[in-house]
Formats: sequence, C-alpha cells, structure tokens
Amino acid sequence: MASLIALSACSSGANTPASGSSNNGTSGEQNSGGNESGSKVITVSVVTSNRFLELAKEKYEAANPGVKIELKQSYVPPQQQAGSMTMYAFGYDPVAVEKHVATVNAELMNGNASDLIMVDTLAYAKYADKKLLANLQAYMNKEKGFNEEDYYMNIFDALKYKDGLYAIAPNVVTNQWFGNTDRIKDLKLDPNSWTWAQFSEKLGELAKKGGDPIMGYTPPEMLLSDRIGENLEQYINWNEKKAGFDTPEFIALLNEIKAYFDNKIIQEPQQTAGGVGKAIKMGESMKMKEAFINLKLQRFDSLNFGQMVFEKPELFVPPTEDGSKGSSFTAGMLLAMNEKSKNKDGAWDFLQFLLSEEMQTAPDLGGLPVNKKAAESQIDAMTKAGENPLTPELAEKAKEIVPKMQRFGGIEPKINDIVKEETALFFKGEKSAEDVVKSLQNKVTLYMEE
Amino acid sequence: MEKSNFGRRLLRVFRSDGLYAALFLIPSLAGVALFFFLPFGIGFYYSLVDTPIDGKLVGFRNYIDLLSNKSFKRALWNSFLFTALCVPINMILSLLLATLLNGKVYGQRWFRLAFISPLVIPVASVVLIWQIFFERNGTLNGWLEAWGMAPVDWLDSGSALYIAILIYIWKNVGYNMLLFLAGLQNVPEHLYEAARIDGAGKWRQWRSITIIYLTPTTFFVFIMSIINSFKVFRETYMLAGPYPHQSLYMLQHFMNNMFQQLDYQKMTSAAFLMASAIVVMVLVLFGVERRFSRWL
Repeated sequence: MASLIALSACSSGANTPASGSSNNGTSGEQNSGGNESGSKVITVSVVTSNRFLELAKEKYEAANPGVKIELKQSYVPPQQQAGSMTMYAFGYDPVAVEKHVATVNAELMNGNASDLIMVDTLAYAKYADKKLLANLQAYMNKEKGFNEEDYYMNIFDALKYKDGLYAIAPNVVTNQWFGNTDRIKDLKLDPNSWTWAQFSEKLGELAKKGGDPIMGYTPPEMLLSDRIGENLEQYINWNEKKAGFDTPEFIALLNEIKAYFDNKIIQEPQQTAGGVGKAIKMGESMKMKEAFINLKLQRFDSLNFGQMVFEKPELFVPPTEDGSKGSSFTAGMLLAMNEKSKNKDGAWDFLQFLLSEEMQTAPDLGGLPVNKKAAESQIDAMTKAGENPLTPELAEKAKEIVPKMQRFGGIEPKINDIVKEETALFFKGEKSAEDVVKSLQNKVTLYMEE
Repeated sequence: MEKSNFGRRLLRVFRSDGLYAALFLIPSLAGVALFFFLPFGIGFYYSLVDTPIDGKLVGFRNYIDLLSNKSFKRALWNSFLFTALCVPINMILSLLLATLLNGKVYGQRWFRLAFISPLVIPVASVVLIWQIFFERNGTLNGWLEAWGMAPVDWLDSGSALYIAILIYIWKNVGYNMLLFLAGLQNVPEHLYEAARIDGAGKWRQWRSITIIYLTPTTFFVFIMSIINSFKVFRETYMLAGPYPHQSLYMLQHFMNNMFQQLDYQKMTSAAFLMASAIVVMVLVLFGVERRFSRWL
C-alpha cells in the first residue's frame, strides 16, 4: 500500500510544476477539499488550459475571496501558444489527450481527482456508468440557485445520458452554411430546411456545368462525422449496446459522401481557387465564387462571414436527412463533476458561474452561449455594432440557432477514432464500402459491448 | 544454569540452516509479497466492489455481469481457440526440429542458433517487420499484386488469427526446441542399443523409448506453451491496436481496454477468472504428470 501512495504522490507532484508554469498562480495546494485557513480550492482538470477558463478563474476568485480555482493542465505543450482558443477548431493535440486520459484515470483511481473534469476527450458515459461522475441534474434546481428559464434547456436535455446529466457544455458549436445567391438562386433551395438529397442533386447539376468550385473544401471525415452526429442514436445506441454501421443506409451514406468528391461538388483546394490569401478590409467582400461555404459557428459575429466572402450571401441551416429535424451541435468543451469530490457545492457554484450571463458574454467563450440573456444581448449588441452591423434578418435567424438545437452530435472519442481510421481506407479508394462497414461494425460493437 | 541452557538453544538456532535460509529468503519474499501478493489481493478486492473508490461489496455480481458480457465471451473464445490451435502446432513443430537437430546434421550449430534468435530480438522491432509485411500496402500484398492477384487486408480479415499463430510459432518454437533437445540428450543411449539388438526399427525406438523418456519434458513444454500463448497479446496489440479484427480480440485486449476505461471491476474479475482457469489447468496437468511418472 505504501508504494501505491508513493506513486500517486509522485504523479500529482509531477503535475504541480506543469500547471504552475502556465502562470495560473497555482497555490501548490493539492487537496481539493480546502486547507486549514478556511480558503477553499476548486480544482479543474483540463487537457490544456484556455482563456475562457482562465478568465473565469480570475473573475470568480475576485468575486469570492477565499476561494481558489486551480486549473490543472494534464499536458503543457512545449511552446505555450498564445491563442489556445484556436486549438478548439482543430481538436486537441493527441499527445495531450493521451496524457489527460492517463492523468485523470490515475487521479480518479487514487481518489485525488479534481472537483471538475474536462471530459470531451474521455469516454465519460462509461465513467458515469461506474458512478465516477456526479449526476448534475440534482443541482439544476432553484434550491441550488439554478433557474431553468435562464438557459437553453434543450442543450442540456440533449446531453443527457440514461436519464442523467453527467457533463454540461458551457458553449455549443454548430454548422452554418452560407450560400452565394448569385450562383444558387436558380436552384430553388429553402434556406430554412433542405435535405442532403437536394444538396447532392442540385449541386451535382451545378458541378456538371463546370466552372467555379461549388463548395469550400471540407474533408470527407468531417462530413461523415457531422452526418453520423445528425443521427447519432441510429448509429450508436448505448441503451441496447448496438452499433448501426452495417446497414445499407450507412453504406449509402459512405457512397454519397464519396460521390460529392467524385462529382466535384467538393474538391481538394487548389492554389488558384479563390482569393483566400487576399487581404480585405472590414465590410468589403472577398467576392469568392463558391456556391456554398460552411462554417463551424463559434460566435454570433461570425455570421458576418457571409458578407465577407460573398457579394450576396444567404444564411442556410445545414442540410438534414429529411429537411425537418432540428439541428445537431457539438460542444467546445464538456465539464463533469467528480462524484467523490468533497466540495461538490463549491464546484457546482463555479460551474454555474461559467453559465452565468457575465461569463457567457465573454468573447473567449469558444462557442455560442447557452445562457439566453447572454445570447440575446450579444446578438442585439451586434445589430448596433458600428462597423459591420448584423442585419435585422440575420439577427432574427441568429436568435433561432441555439433553441433549434436538438441533438448532441459529439461522437465518443474512441468510436470517432475507429470510424475515422476505418473509413479513411474507403475514401482513399483502397477498400470497398461493404468491407469497411463490416470491420467498422465489428470493432465498434466490440467497444460498445465491453 | 537456566541461562546457559537458553543460550545454548539460541546458539543452536543460529547455527541451524533454517534461520539463515529464512534470512536469505527475506529479500525475495518481500519482493514477491510487495509486487505479487499485495497487488493480487488488491485486485481481488476490486473485483468484489461496485466502484473503485469507496465501493460497496457486491459479492460476485461483477463476475456474473462479466459472464454475460458479449465482448468478454468473444475474447474468451478467441483466447481458447488461439491456445487450442497454437499449442499443439508449436509442440509438434519443435519436437520435429529437435529430433532433426539432435542427430548429426550439417551446420547443426547454426541451425540451433537461428531457431533461438527470435527469443533475443526485441519485440517492437520485430513487430515493425511483421507490420510492413502484412500491411494493407505491405510487402505481401505487393507480391500478390505483382502476380496479378487482389490485395487482402490481412490483419483485418479472418486471416488475422493465423498471422497471430504464425508469430507465436516463430517466437516460441526455438525455445521449445531447446527444451526438447535437452530432453533428447538425457535419453540413455544403451536403451537404444538394447532395442536395436532386439531388432526394433527406428519408429519403434522412437515410439517406445524417446517418447516415454520425453514425457516430463513434454509436460513442461506443454505448460510453457500455454503460458506463452497468453503472451502473444503484446505482439497482436502492437500489430493491430486495442480494437483489432474480431478474431484477434483476446482476453488481454479486453482487460487492457477495461483498464483504459477505468473499469477495474470487469478488468480484475476477468483477470481472476483467467488466473484461476490457468491455475486449475496447471494443477490438473501436474497431477496427471505425477501419476504418470509413478507409473513410469
């Protein structure tokens, strides 16, 4: 037993300089419970720190003297990057993810885990099954100071797992499409509701005519994970522990996505394709020729992106399977509470602070706010912005984006890896869709039934 | 008087071997206790609780859950199939090689060396070679394509299991051959002479003398082969990752993945089931062997 304790002490000791070096003002206090002098420490395990959490720490500590927030980074990249927010768009460094999983696992096992844990890179549903994470629904009531009216509860409902809520998203990210009216006005597409079949058919016709590229480049694996996310429960059914990849529908989906590339609806980016490298002034259009550009919307003012790239832009919801369903979303980060935390109320208070209007309006949020007032005030402020105001129609549409989100499209990291790896062989043309689907189904089934 | 009696007795204790034996055993006993019995005990405890930290005792619930887990059953069957296939192949091949290399063969020493060399090569570097050979775009498929045949994803099809068997044989045949060679050299030469005088042919000599005298060695080789067959996980894991083709998914894959997912209950109960199965099997084999050697 002594050796185990020595080991765990060693591993947490190794983390102290790491989180300290990112100048978070680590107190050196490792106990999550708090120390003798009455000041409490709330620890948060993160893959890599980000400006939103650092800002939250700063503000929360200022507002609550005697409480310290400690951001424990599992991994500090060799060179500290100034804009850690950019890491969201491209995912985390795999080395950092591996380190995070190992650290959090070790800490959970020796009972030293942080009060709050960033779980977007962990198979957190499995952790919830093992009663390692707290069910946050118990805290989402008026007694704990939580007012459902203030939030887009559809987000939290979508994040539920087996009737419990084990992770919350302080922000959400969704796809939005911008159409180039000059090129698509004859296609008769409904910007509020259109299907992938229409996308494939109408834009396929447009592509046959040749000329300018149809869509900004989106890699096939990204299209695929968005499409899987759209019907997540069909492909990954945790209640019955069934994977649904060996279906004709999924084979059709693979072939469909491949056809986008074969039919040149989406093409590998070419040097001559657009004026991406051209410097433009605010409010001036790049006059790009693509018919559509899609964007992972992380902040409302990106809605102006359309005006930047096209002369006559039109905002589209992403196409869906049947044109009717609400949209799916992913989260910029997911936070969960350690079930064995000695300071659950304190941790919840900090979590709730992250959801407060004050924090949700922060420019560094990293996604769209889940707080209603924050979203609305942000959009309203943008319509009055001096240089490049949001048009009233766009503002109206912007207010609809978050409430329309119904499905969480985040695929579990492990399954996502397997899907990416297996389907890459198909998109490269090395294996037939049938072969890929078979081995994909087997592997995901192995994982789910474990 | 009383005192000197006690002193004498103490002296006797000091002079006896038992004390020194105990003294010299302490370091290794401590090591075994710390690195074997203690983790074993903690592991057993984990297999009886519902959650790793502050868990409640749930008796054998984890074991019952485990036995209804489909991935576990698949892993169990795969491991059993793998062992059932590769152990006999390995034993027959190594006995054959040992018999061949026991006589006067040209370049005998070099052959022996060649067969033993897989034991000393680091696994990681060898796995790289296997990978290059069996990869989707690897050497084997290159040859196939050159002959105008369609490439096969060897590691991601039913052939994956046979590749694992091949690697196992490659790795273990030399060691077992060495054991058999040692056994062969212990067969008394005069028995063969006597048999020859009595007119026994080569086959009869082999069947009635060699095989009988090799029995203890064979038991040992058998047990070692089984134990080594569980170790092939390292190679398969490095070749095909944590979620390989379903025919390659072994018990250790299951346990390793459970460890990654922090499911210590399933992991430890699987480990204990596997350990008890191996212990029972080894005990049965030793029992058989004891009875057999008494008969001999």
